[in-house]
Amino acid sequence: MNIIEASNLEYIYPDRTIGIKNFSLNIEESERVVLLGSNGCGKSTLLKLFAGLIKPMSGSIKIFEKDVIRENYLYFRKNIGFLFQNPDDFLFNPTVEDELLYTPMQLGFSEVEAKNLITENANYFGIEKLYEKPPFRLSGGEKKRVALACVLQLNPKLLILDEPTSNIDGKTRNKIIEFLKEYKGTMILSTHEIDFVKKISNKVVLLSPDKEILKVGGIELLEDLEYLEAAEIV
Amino acid sequence: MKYEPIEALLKSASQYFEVFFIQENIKSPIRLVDTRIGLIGFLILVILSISTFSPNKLFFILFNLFLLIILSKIPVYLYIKRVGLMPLFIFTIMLPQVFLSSLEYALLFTFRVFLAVSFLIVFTLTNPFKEILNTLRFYKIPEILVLTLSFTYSYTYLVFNELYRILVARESRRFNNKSYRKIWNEGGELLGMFFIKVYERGEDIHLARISRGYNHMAYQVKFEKFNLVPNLIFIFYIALITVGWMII
Repeated sequence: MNIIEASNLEYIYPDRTIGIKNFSLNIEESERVVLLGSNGCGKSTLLKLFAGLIKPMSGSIKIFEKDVIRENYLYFRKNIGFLFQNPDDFLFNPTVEDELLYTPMQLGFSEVEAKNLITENANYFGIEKLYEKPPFRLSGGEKKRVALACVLQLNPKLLILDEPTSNIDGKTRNKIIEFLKEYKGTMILSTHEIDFVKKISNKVVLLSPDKEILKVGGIELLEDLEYLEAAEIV
Repeated sequence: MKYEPIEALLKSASQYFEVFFIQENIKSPIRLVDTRIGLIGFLILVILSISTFSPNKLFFILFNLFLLIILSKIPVYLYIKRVGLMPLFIFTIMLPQVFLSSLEYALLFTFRVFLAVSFLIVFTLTNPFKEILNTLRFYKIPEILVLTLSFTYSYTYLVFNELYRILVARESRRFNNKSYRKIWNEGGELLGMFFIKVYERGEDIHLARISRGYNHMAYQVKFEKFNLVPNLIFIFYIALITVGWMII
């Protein structure tokens, strides 16, 4: 089953900045894809397109073989977990517990069901003691762990992570890498750090600074200095 | 330097408003009072505060405000931090009234608003935000208003946090004293950048909300168990203040 079928995608922001152009890619079930590229090469835009949060200006995209239309909205939200790059944008509730309860409650779970659901992830990420704290007062690492626990509430089939290891301490970084190694579903993540990519992925998409695909391949692509230099990663 | 007092005030104001709504985890006896009853009780106190210009009545309300803060076990520093700039802010708005009416009028008006805001602060400090939203819904306040309040909570932090960051970034890159004209121009640029940045972050927050299943409703929770005795004590206390206010 194709999880993502993208063909000739183009996205332009309202200020006429090009987000991505001529992008075509298929992602199959259980693939672990890493989008690699320099800052501003369109990684975050692509991830939002893959999550169905924005629509392309031209080209077509199917997620779980479904069109990105309003009728499929609930299905996408239940099956896609999206971690934003900046946890400050992602966490907006009064307490950490409210953050964890937000998605299940929005999707119609009862309060009791939702509370049962959040315990496991909270324990895994060591955030059960933070339940009553406002998310704004947490450290960067704690915010990232809370955000990740929120994303994983409903065991999404597709996990999309925008620079999951940026701006965090070593301990949290290791915890996230450890989790990503164990994760069994389809995963797409963006980063410009290549050191941990080998441990967690099996497909690499190199993006050029021109916001186009440079090369798609396996993790052996990470050894190809010529391409890495062209992508301005090294 | 010329700009320091203005920027210092702006920085303090942004830090102040940034945490103005933030829910604190206070183990207060007021938590035992049902939020639905609490809201009505505090609204009565607000109405009593703004319905008089009598200094005696206002001082009576002030005494009860302090009593309520002590009984609620709200840390005094936290209350002062929240209420901090409010009297100054209100008095600044009332300044023209010093010349149009009298100093006494301006001071009493400030005093009234300060008391009303203080009661709202005590209420928000002692009740979880989601229960306040639930209570508004219980009283059939339109969902769009409840939702707006819920959004205000998350965006207040974002807006003032962004302003604070812009001010600090500007300060870190400034080396010489400038003319007032230049400062004024830069102030305009700051305001423009502030709106753009807040707009962009607001967009990201909205996308995050959608990615997490937002369905145009603030989610609902059940009210906590109703305890009769604390509720009766609270109602009696509010009734006592009301009677006292009428007698004075």
